[in-house]
Amino acid sequence: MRATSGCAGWVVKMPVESVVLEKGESGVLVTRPLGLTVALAGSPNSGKTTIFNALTGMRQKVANYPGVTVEEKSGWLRGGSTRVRLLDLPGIYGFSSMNPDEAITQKILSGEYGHEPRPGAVLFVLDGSSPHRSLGLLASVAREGMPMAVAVTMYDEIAARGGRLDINRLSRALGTPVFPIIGHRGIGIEGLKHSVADAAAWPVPRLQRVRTTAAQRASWSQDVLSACYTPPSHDDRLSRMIDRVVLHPVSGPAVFLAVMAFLFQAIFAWAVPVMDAFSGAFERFGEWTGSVMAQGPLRDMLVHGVIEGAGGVLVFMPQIMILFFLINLLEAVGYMARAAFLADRLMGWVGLQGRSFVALLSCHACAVPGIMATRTIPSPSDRIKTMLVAPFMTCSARIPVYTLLIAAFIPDINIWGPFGLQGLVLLGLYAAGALTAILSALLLSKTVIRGSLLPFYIELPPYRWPTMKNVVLAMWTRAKIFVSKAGRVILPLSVLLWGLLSFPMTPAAGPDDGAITQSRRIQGSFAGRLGRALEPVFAPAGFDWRINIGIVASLGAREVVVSTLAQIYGIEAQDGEDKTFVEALRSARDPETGRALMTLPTALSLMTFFVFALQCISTLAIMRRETNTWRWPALAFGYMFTLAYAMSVVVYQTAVFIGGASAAGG
Amino acid sequence: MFTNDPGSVYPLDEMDEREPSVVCGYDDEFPVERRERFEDMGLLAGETVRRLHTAALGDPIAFGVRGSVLCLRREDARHIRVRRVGSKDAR
Repeated sequence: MRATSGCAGWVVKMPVESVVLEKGESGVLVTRPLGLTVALAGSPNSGKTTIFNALTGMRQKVANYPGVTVEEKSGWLRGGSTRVRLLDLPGIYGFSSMNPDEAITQKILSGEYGHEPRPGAVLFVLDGSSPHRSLGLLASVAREGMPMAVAVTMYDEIAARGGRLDINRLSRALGTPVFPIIGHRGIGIEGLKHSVADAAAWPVPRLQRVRTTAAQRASWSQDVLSACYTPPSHDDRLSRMIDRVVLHPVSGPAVFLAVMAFLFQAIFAWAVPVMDAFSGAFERFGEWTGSVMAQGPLRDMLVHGVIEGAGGVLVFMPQIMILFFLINLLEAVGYMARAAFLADRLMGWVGLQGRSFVALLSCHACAVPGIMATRTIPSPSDRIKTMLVAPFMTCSARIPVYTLLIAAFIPDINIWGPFGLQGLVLLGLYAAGALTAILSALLLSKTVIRGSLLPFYIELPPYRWPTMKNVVLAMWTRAKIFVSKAGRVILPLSVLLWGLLSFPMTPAAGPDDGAITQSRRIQGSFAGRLGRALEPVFAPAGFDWRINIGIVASLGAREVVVSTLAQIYGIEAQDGEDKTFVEALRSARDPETGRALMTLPTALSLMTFFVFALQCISTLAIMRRETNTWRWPALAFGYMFTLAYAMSVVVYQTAVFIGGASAAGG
Repeated sequence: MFTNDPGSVYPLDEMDEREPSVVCGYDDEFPVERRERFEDMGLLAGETVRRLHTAALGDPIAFGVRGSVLCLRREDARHIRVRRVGSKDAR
């Protein structure tokens, strides 16, 4: 058997059993001897992940297949004498060329996929709670003619509902070994492990005829099952009972809102103390490093560039971990599918789907975990659409910018009852973000990203007690991916950004870095020069070079615009809540002309800019990782910036016009 | 396929809750890719379906078919034809 590996433009041919091409540490392709690869195939919710985790333990590797948003998960068989690599194929319902998950699975199994050698054997995971449908998929997989074994999961659920599956007869009918598994109790795993270690000896299943249509597959499964399967006498009563409440027209939405409120509260509020502890620890580590090193550019780069940059990456971890713990938990229990069902109509209106809801909700805390959560959306086009509109949601990093500018420039007057003008403006900014997201999703559905021919469907699995090990492992995997894949983009970019703001260095006036020195230093930097160069561009929006520097600096994190403006204005206080800063912002004057630096039209325009602009390298980095290309993050940055610029100009010009008119009238 | 008993054949989305029906077939204009997928999910001619839940505003709809629960949007469900069955046909 020979396979073809197309790598970076050239083609390498070699026997797949003996060697695999891998990207080495330095990025050079290296060959490495390899034992057998066993692919795990099965439908979503079939218990495939439980089996994969049980067979591999913590030793897993997650990568992206090139050019698509499909993840490649692999690991080594635990405790075997031979080295067997397990490849967890995406959960699929069939082989459709229009669904990337399914297309890649089919290509890998047939050996047509350039980046993954053909596996030596397949372990098919058959969902015991829906054997008819699983056998239909098995018929498709078996057509590839590979050595195969079958693991029947949820084996206990069949008997619990009064059904029976004769394993020996099924094994005889299929001509493959069959292993009954009760995943959450670990029953049957040991025997399976032994067999997988010797997977090359598995037989190729006997299928008399080629089955190409769904009807043929269904009649074949019916034939197989009629000899060995007694269907359950009753439905899953517990699931039906829970669904009667959870999917009820009145109590259903109430439960949904309660769960979503809990989820939101968890990432919005509960993550904050941990995040503060993280950034506090990094600050102290930075201070310590600064105290032991000699003064100079190297110390500055290490403390402010690298350590602060690394802190800026790790600060996302609490939100990512909390969100993915809850998402994985809800998914394992079976509620996520119900939530998707309940929210589908709402999201369907704007061209998205039910599962987009959780992702977009999470974006109100932070777009980074929100975009990572789009992975739960099965349709690739809906996934991309959700990602492209996600950054419009008002994330918590925008709040310091809004509250500072509102406190400084929006009069604190009561409109009606407890509602004041300041609160109303903040609400308006939130609404503007969400509304723009909705309109953009609609527009994208009509133009750039059309729907596929594949239909929309959700399977509601039976409610199941979650396996905590799987939930925690999946959470940990997400966190690891973020740090290793997004971190490697965010860290260099934040060091670069620090460099722009710090070089060329102006010599310090005295031993103590006073506010004035800091202000001068930032003005003389590359970012300062860039800010001045951009002045004519942003002048129609009412931004002077000082604000331009703030906008450049805020690419690292939006809230940084606050501290940067404080530095430029030569204000010691960096806290947005600080009364002196609000006062200073209002009264800051241009030293040459004596004109106010920040006026109401400028403040409104700046807030508008932050509503729309994708001022966040972390968001761009995670979008790059999730879509596996720079195309989508570039598109998102481009169209959001254009919109932000246009809206800021409109708001500024309108505000100036109204201000001028009312001044003339008064 | 629909000629046997035209009076009682109707689209899947108009089906009554908890009154089982049997799938007759798909509209001709329904894309074959979608049809194959739904057939793989169990919505094959001759299968018994039950309507279990309807989301707010009537869309999507959850159906019970072959022991599993499958949710479809109305836009797809209305292209699937079902026939009401008497108690003797229903499982």
